[in-house]
Amino acid sequence: MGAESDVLLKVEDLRVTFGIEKTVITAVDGISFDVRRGQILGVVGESGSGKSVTGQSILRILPKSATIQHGSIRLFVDDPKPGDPIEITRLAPNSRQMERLRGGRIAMIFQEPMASFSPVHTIGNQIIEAILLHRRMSKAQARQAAISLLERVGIANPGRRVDQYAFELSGGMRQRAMIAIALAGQPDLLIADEPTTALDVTIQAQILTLLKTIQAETGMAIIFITHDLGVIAQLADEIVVMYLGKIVERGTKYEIFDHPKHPYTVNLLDAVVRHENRGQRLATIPGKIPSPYERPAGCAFHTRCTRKINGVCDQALPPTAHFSATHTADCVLYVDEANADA
Amino acid sequence: MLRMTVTRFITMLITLLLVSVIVFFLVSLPPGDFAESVALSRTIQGERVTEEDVALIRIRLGLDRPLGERYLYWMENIITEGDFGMSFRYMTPVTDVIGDRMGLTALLVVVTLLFTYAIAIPVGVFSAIYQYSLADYIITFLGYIGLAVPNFLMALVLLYFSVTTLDVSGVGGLFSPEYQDAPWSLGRLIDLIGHLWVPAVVLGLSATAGGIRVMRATMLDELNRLYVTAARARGVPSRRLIWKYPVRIALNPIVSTIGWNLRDIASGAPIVAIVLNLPDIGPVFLQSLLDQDMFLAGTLVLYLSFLTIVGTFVSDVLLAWLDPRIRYGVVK
Amino acid sequence: MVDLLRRNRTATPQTSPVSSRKPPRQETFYTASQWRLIWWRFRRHRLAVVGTTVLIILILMAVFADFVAPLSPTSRSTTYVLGPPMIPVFIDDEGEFHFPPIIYGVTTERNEETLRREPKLDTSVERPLHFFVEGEPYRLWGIIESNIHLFGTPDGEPLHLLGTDNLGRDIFSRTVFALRVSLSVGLAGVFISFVIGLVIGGISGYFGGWIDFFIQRLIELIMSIPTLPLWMTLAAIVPRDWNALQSYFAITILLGLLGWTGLARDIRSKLISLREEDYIVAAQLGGSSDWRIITRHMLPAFTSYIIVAISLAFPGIILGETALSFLGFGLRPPVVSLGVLLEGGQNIRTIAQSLWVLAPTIFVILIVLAFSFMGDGLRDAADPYAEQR
Repeated sequence: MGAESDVLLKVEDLRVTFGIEKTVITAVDGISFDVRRGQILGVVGESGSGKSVTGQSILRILPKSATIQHGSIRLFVDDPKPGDPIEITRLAPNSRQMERLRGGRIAMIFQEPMASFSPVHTIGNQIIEAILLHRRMSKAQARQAAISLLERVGIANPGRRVDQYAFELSGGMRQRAMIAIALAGQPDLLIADEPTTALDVTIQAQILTLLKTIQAETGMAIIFITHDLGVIAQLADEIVVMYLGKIVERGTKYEIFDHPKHPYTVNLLDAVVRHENRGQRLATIPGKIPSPYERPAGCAFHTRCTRKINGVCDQALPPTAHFSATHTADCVLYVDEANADA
Repeated sequence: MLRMTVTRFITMLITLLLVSVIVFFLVSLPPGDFAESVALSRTIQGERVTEEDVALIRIRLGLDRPLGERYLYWMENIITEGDFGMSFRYMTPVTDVIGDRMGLTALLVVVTLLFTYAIAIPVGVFSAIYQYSLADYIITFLGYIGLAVPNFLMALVLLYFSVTTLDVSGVGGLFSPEYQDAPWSLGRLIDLIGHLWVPAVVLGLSATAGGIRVMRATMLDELNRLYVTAARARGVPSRRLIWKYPVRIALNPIVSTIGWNLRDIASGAPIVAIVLNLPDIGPVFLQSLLDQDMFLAGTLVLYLSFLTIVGTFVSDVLLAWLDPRIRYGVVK
Repeated sequence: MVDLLRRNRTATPQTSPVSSRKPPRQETFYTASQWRLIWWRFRRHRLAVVGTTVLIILILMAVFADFVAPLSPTSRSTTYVLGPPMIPVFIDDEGEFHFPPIIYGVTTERNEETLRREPKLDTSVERPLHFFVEGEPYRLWGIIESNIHLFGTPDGEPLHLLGTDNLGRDIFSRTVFALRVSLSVGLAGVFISFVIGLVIGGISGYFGGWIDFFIQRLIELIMSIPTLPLWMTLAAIVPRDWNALQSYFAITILLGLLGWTGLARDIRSKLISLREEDYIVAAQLGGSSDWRIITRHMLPAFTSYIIVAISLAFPGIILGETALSFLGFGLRPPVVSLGVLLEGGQNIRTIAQSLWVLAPTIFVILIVLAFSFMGDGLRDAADPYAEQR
């Protein structure tokens, strides 16, 4: 890991629950991870793994039914005071300070670019709004800035597009415009929540390239949330694998792709379409992700795990095994192999 | 936008024309002959009416001609001279009987509509934002009551209170005694507006309740949408966010209810006017039906339809202006 | 348009545990029949349950009107004219508790303004209220002869729960009989509306194309004429010399004839959305006949919506009848409907002195509220797997 001063965002022991009709379900169950400046962190998991909730917690835009039970999210920026992190979990979601952070320090883009735009306001209107919220500019200047942002994210004819509505743009262009809004406040961190899932494969590749280019230009960090390991392979430096609200494995891109440890990660990788596996049947993970209401005891993955040890996996939480400074997995299989701490 | 407006305008004219056909044939339905009822009423007044007189009246009213021809003749007079035909009871042109009163009804309907939305929109927004709060429950409950109480009953209850607790001349009528027969002036207008709110409240009750429900439901839908989250994620302060996005977008379904509400208000206007004895077309309408003075009655039904149809046209144009998706033909 | 917006929404942004907000239910939830699911959801809608209960009580009152009403709708009291309601009390004015409850006696008092003797309640006389009391003889449904009434006073003196009208007739008894007429008008009116609406909406929705276009324009045309004035005009055409029964049928048919437009629209839009459902398309591709698709696939998915539409159509018809009769264009005496009862209330002097003549409107409001609550509950319940708010 890099020096501590490199850390931009530190999430520690975050636990988020939803209260729905007297039942409480845990969406994120005590996770910790760091995001370093200029890093692209991939968060991978199936539906219901808690990856989106993690993203929403960082911005404090969780639905009303959700509560952050404990844990901390700290943002290390030089403003207001150098060396003094902003405790995001201590801020009220509707406080002035939190509103300044949103879009200004941390921006977010979503899976559905069409639904992310107001249907009755122009694209320009929404970009200019974001610019005026975070930068000191006149309206005319902001409009110019909006046009150049559109140009920067690769939208042809930005002078005309700025006055168009989301429904007049193609899917790829909408996501580009969404990225333009995210860039408006010159953030330090971009949370991209499945930004390419709803797009065609060719457009997907374009958007990924764009994100990479912009990341290189601005040096901002990106948390890239996806269920698609193929996408993350092209982009991320480090990867966090989530299952049912817990991080089951983490490591650098090469560690995860070349030496996956957790059976879940192994399964996930087998399910990726690969050149070498041409002509073979695509592997799937057996079973279904359990309902969040019926969370399995012990290791949450034991209901689907092919290497499950009866009487062990379904009893206690698995220990964390360390394989390198960056590579860990929560699985009993590696108790002896690595220096596990239970 | 212009093309849409023009198309919609032409549709409106066609609708008006077809409604006039329906209304005309309706008022021509009653058995018996208007001429005979005119003759009868004159006999009652002590005149001697002969068979020739009846025939003469018939010719004068055009009743001897076939139905289709009579309709064309009627329409021609309406369009060329603004003449809606003769009132059989008063034996004067219909417009002379109701000209002044029509304006009052139109004013009442429009004021009621404005009042309805002035209440329904903010209350609906409030109720949605504070969903499941005590205030929300009270509003929802009152909304149910508002929809269930017939407006004539509401008018009666108001009358009851005006008779028992206020002075007798309280809510009935639209003018204070000193302005009753005065010519139009600024003072008379102010006096009118001062009186107008009572029938407007009564008449707008169910439309307001309905409007609150629509606004609340749409707001709840809109508040959960991704564009709200996206706007929050870029730092838009929550109060500004609610008014700029979900409220603005929830206005569209509300605006599309204008036509519907207008019809309800126009539908209730006569009965409320009858109970409150307003000097508009309500009491005349009742009397015309009792007298089987069908041209007069028909004209009034046509007039109320006219208000509804024009209102619907206005609301459609307004909706297109408000919603680019409709303007650009993405959504019908 | 709202429908369209809603469709967009099915694509929720993230698929975290939040978005699959299914209530925690066991296997039974997924295997229960459609009607059972509807019933489960309906039961949870408290207002709907209250509304349905009230409705059942009102219907029972109407069906057994002769038994429930202490007096016949036409019997007149010569002494108790425009008399105030006799509300049963458990605790009298001296604070004494009574069971069964008591009502007060009757006396007359001179009105200082009009100098006329008016009936008043006499709190010094206490009369117990009993159930299953002998009273006026009647023939229930014209068949069963009896003289037992649900409640009354054993002393045989008249009992006027809601007071009397200007002819000394018991308002409560008349209201109970009026319920029978008004509910039957509503039922018949809704039935007529429903048949027309189902046929026309069904044709419009299933065939589409120019037939649909034509029918939709026709509906818009009819809908652009304000309902009540149109009803009044049509009702005014009903010949005056028809007897009460003839005009009863005429008015019922009129109410039904104008009420179908909304139902037809609902049915059409539901049909159109159903037609595009994958399982219907699958059935079509599989070569099922139109008839089979309509009866086996569409109708079951449809019945609950029809029931909802019907229960929400009731209030309009009931309110229409009330307004028409109130103005004197609807049903005619001796038929008593809730609207006919109110006709006497048009005189503001009468109302000012005897507010209780408006008592029948309470039942109008109750009926309308009960149907709305029930309809809303049914509508929410009709889509058992739907996300709940």
